[in-house]
Amino acid sequence: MSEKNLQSEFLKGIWQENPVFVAVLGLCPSLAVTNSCINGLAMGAATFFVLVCSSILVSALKSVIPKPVRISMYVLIIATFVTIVDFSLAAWLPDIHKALGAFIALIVVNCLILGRQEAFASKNPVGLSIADAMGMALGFTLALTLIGGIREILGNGSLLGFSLFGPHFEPWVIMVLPPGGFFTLGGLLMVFQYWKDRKQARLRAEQNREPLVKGPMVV
Amino acid sequence: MELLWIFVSACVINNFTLAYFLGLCPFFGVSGRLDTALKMGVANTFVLTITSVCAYLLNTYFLVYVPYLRLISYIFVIASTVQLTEMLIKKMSPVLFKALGIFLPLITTNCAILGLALFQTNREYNFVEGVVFALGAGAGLTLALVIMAGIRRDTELSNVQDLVRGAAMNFFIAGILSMAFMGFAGLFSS
Amino acid sequence: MSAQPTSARLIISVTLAGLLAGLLLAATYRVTQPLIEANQQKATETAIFQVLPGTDHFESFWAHDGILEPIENPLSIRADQQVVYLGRDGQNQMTGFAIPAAGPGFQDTIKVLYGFDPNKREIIGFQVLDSRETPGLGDKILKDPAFLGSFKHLAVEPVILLQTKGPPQHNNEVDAISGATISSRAIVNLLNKNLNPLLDLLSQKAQAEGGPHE
Repeated sequence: MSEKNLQSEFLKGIWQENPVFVAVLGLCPSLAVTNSCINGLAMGAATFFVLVCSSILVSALKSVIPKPVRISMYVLIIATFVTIVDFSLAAWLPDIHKALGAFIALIVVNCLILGRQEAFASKNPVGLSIADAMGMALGFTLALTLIGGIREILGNGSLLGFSLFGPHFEPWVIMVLPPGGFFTLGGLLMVFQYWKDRKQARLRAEQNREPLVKGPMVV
Repeated sequence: MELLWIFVSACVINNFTLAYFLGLCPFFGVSGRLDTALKMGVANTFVLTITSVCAYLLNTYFLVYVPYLRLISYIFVIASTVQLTEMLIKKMSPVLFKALGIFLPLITTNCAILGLALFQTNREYNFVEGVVFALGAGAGLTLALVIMAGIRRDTELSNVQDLVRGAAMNFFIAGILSMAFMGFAGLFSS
Repeated sequence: MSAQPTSARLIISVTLAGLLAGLLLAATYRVTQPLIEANQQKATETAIFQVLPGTDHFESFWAHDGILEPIENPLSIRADQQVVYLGRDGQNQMTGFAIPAAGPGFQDTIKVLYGFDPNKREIIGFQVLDSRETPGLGDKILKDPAFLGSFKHLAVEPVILLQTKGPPQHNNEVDAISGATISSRAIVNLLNKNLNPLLDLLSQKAQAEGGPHE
């Protein structure tokens, strides 16, 4: 636990400390734009860029940034990168920019990004910070794509625009509407809770068994 | 008619929390108690209105020359507005400050505030429309918070499966509320 | 731990960071802005060409106080200005007016662009630019063939009506979409409300252009 390595810092964000399913951060974009798989993916990619770039900069400048104004600095850095993403999407991918609308700019207030700067990038070297940021951002992107995928399949009968079930499928329109976002994330949180509970129960069972097996060897 | 449409649309038809998912943090975080939910809603409405005025002034007199500073200036205006509001309320009404105290700094990170400024800009609202939009959005946030708090007060005491208790159940409640609010659609088009 | 930084240092570092960020953004803006403007221009053009068949190029006007004021820079258009585009074909003859309009829909504000022929006094084309109508129901206003077909030759006088029972009987009736009656009605109301105050102005302009060409 004492020695941090790149691989574990990268992997923790994807599953163990997944920002959406475990930490329940960044709710606004994870529900607002995920009415289709591709939107979720695009939002995830934009967040990925902002999070990784900000982490690199914050980590590299951590000795230069004065403590009392650090939060303002982080916000300034994040807002700069978000504006760059916003302009670039509008210039080169106008369709995606139109679909995501104001929610691209709202990446600024995604607690996940500011949270990673304060909790990780400002205390760790650049390499580790990149691994952490990439892991977290990838976990976020996967979560958004998953939510978007589920909502698109059920609510539209398609995935990434390809029809799945043929003409006789009656789509559950509610899933691509706002309530569907709440229901999907609620359901996924339940699945994660179930998985966590089972793991804890298994752990407890092992701990209870341990003294019996290992008892003699301690002496 | 136009102003009424903006108000009702922001308040119930396109409720910030239940249709745009803005301001979910206080929605799930602070909505445990009815009276705090109400105060949080009022504080938010207050900041929303001031932000709307500031965003309008910025758009008209400053950002026409430097449009690329929009996001940065909004963020800093919101942060300063919250700070100023806090100081102002502390001076003018210590009672209110005591009641709102801890909620004020939390508002800075509420996406609803920045969301309002951005929507207002995208839709090119003028001064009056912006203020009405902010009041509608604030009323909508307060409404959603208070209803949620009322429901949660009851569910805390009811017998629920451990698996669903907590975050998951709040999402299901929010989903049902969101469905209920969908019933307001079409108010203005028949 | 080093000593507490002085406020002078704080101010300098914040200012420096702000300046750097500003410079970076200004550079990005410089690069992307022409592309963004071109995208917007192209979107407007495509929509106008679609609602005014045969159009090759167009002029922009601001309709206010009973006059049509030419707009030099299309990027200066504000949301509260009623814009009218005058379309022309390859021979520079008028093809009609393309008019943007917005109003309350079932869910949120609907933005549309419609083509109007002032000589026949008919709507000759129609497109939804932006809407958040319910997917699968209200969003049929984007693609329902019978509904959109009503806008090929739609007389606007005395008023546009919505035919909710069966196919349209008269040429001023729009075929309502079943399952999306409210969205259909929202569009009809929106068109009536938008076009009425403009009718005389557009007719005058058309007469100045020389009326229908043979």
